[in-house]
Amino acid sequence: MLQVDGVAFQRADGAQVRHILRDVSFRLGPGQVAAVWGPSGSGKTTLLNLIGGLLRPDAGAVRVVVEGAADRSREIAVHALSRAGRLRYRRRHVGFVFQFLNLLPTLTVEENVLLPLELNGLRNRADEALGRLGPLGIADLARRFPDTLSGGEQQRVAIARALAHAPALVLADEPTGNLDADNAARVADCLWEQVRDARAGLVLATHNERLAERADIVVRLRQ
Amino acid sequence: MTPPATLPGLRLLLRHQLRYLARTPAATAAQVLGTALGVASVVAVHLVSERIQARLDADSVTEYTHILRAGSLTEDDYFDLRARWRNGAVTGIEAVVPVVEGYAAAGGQPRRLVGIDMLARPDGRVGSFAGAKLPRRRLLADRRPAETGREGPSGAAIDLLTRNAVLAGKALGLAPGDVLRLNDTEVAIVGVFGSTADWFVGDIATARRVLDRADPTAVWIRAGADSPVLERWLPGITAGFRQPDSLDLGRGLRARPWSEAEPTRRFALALLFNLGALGMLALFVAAFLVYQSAHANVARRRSSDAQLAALGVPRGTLRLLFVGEGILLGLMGAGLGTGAGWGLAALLVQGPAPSPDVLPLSGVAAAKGAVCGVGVAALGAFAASTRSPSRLVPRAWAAGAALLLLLSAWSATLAGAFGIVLALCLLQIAVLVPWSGRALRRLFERGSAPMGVVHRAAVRSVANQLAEVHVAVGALSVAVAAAIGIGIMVDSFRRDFSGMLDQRLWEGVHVETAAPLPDRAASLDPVRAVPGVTDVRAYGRASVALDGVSARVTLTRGDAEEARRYGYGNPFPEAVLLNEGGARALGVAPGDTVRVAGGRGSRAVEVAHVFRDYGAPGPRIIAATDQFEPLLDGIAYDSFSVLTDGSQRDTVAAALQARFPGAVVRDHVETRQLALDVFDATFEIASELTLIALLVAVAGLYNALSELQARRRGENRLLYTLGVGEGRIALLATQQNGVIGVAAAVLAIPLGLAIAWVLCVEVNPVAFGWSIPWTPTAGSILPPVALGIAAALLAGLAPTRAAARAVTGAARHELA
Repeated sequence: MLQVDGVAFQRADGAQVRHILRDVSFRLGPGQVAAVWGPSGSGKTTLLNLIGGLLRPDAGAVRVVVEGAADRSREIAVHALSRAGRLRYRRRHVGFVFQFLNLLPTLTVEENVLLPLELNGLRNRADEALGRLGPLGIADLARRFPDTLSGGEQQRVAIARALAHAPALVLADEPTGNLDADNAARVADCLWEQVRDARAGLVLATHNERLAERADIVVRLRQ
Repeated sequence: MTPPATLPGLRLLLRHQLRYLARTPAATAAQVLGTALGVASVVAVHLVSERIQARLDADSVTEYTHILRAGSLTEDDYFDLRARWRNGAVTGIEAVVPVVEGYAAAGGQPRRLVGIDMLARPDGRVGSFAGAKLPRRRLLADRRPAETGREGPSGAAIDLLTRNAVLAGKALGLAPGDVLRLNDTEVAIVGVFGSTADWFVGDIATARRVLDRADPTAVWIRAGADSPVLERWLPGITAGFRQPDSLDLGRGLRARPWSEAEPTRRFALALLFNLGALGMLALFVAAFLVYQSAHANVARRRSSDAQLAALGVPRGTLRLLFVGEGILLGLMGAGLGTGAGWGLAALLVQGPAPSPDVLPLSGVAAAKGAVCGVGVAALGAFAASTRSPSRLVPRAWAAGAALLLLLSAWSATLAGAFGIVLALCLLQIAVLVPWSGRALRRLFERGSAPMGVVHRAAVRSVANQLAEVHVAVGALSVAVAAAIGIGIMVDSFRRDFSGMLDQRLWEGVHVETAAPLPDRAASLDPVRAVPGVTDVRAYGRASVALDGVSARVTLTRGDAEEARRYGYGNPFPEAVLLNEGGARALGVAPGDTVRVAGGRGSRAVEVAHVFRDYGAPGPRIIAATDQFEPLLDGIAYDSFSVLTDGSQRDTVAAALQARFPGAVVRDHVETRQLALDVFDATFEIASELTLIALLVAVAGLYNALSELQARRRGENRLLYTLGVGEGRIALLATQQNGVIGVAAAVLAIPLGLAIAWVLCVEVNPVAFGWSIPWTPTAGSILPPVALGIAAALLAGLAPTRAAARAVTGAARHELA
């Protein structure tokens, strides 16, 4: 469902060109987890940006197979999409979980989860999306605002939101980076479980070796 | 224990601070420009007020406070008075100037000529004519225009003293260099003064020659000003303070206040006062803009501030640095703003065409701008660097405003009325705007609002941040409210004033004789025979006691025609008409009875009607001559109205001038037009000044919206990552700005109505003894409201674009 082939990305740094990524390739199937592992500055976040369509690669290709109309799958060449096309791709087929700034502070838990549905005109799936709050253990927090939740609770809400519109891919950037060990383990369990249930692919950027070891595929990046 | 900041540490902190300013040029420029705009508005409003004051001085001689006019006034009387004044026997007077005044034929038209003794004042000033406040030394040292090659006041002054020369009122359409005949004397025009004046001013010697009169017709007196310092800093504001009483000059001479002798003078004072009030409001709004700019400049550095505090930099040191920076940027803004304000004022008073009449920059205007720019910037920086500014400052304001409101409510003075306006503005900013933000948040928290999740997030974000940007939103709200309030007041005032002029000034000519008429019938019967005259009505004046309170009475016919002049339709042979000031002082209303006591007796009479009286601050009654004459002593029949059929007013005026030498003859039609012209000219500038206040508020709002959108950057990036496009983010930002504009404009309506009510019903009655009917109209309210909303949207354009651009630039590298 996700195919990354020979992706490269570079950035001009004054007169010099800085190579952030070179020749990165991997494949990911439905319900699988890929851990992008590497030290700080190795390009983990940049790779997620390329897969999510926030950036365009300077070389290589990013392809995603998604469910189309009448259950017919189709392939999206993310690297070739226009800006507007990447915006639509991101909105419809990708879910995000970040380390910080996951939730809109002015929306309740319930409203944050419904946000991707509204953006995609899928409000008829509200019950299904909100039903995910129970298994994540946050059903009783539905009317609360994010600033009244703990870090772990906020991350679980972010997982519910990332999966609300049934995306093909979930991209998670250090989702447990600011949590203690116990909470980190609980959030990781939730994420794995929910992604597998939804048959989505999960690309996880982390420098946590234990988390990376749980993944089906590990993409190791060097400085 | 925290070690004290050493000099090297301070040096590094200073370097950090200056580099921060240099690396964020847009934000630094925003503070400097915000301060500059605030200062520019203060300087411009002050200079325009000064100029209008000078113009009104020229049109209606507001520089003098009293006038002594007696029928048998001789030059010896004047010299005796001057000697006693110089010896200290007559005190409280700054200037005594003899005047010869009368009408002279100019091109077949009777024109008023006022001759002033230009060397009479010890300070050497001759008045404000043509802006010619000329020191005597300069007058005497000045050379003739022929020698200097210069025209205008300085060159003209020597001509006025040495030959038959006059200054012409601008409305006459004459220019320096013109020569004309006044009566039989050839005079040169050496300058032009005023804006709507249609009369001539010259030296007393010239007037004597032209009018063929040796003795002065009047003496103009300037009594010491009550609050000269306050007047210098807020031009026009002291016009609403206590009005002067009559002056006892000894030897049976009593000078009347100009405001009684000349109703247009009182009107000019009213205009000046309302202009002063407007200047105060502009200052208020500008101060908030400067405060907001300085506050935003410090607030944007909270995170680095917290880092420094965590490293052990004492809070006091940080505050000192921020206040120092506020002063530095305030100085830069004040310098820029003073220049811009000067230019703006010149544009407002002179128009876009180049003019040789350069508007001077007064020291007071520059100082006022500097205090506003530097002082308020330092205060804003100080407030932003305190620990909990968002809570402490509004609470302090709210407490101050509540206290002010409480004190003002007890005070029935002008200061009290202004205190109420100021307190309402403060409460609007400190309480109402944050409160409405909280109310909006509660409304949308419940989730019942019929809008999508994204819009709900945007509106809640505004509601949350309304409490934080309440200064800017409040300032815009106050500016819109000021526009509404002043608009209602001006509309109401003009409607009422115009109606009063229509009633009071009927077709004809009014004559004030230099001395009481000894035999009314013998004096006035020949006037009735003049062609074009339809009626002659004599007016007698006397003093009475009304329920024990000193009052003036005007005796006339008690018929329906006379009653209509005062807005009453019925004859009043047995009753009296009482002016508004009198009704207020005595606490009576129509239908009540008052006791009128004269020198020969007293009687209780009914008050048939209470009329607006723009010419008399104290109690005054209009009564029927035949009923009240027997009660009174010392009645002076020294004025009369000549009603004409409208075709021969000028001829009638000239005939009356010839028959009553020394009398002041005024054409009612011209008086009416002059009054309305002065009114319109003044309030046209007032509306421009209101617009400046609104522009200043828009600049403040721009700063606030930039700050707001900068804070929302994280939320916008998240939305962008989730697939919300730049266009939609820009639309959301526009909607947020619209919500802010609507909130500010809607909140401005009740405040504007309240300001108008206080100005119409509280300030004017206290200041001038009359109320203006409070009649809000959609035409007074809707344009400022629409302007406020448009201003908010306009102010939000750049921050909106920045918000949309920021997500594309920053989200890619910093998020995900």
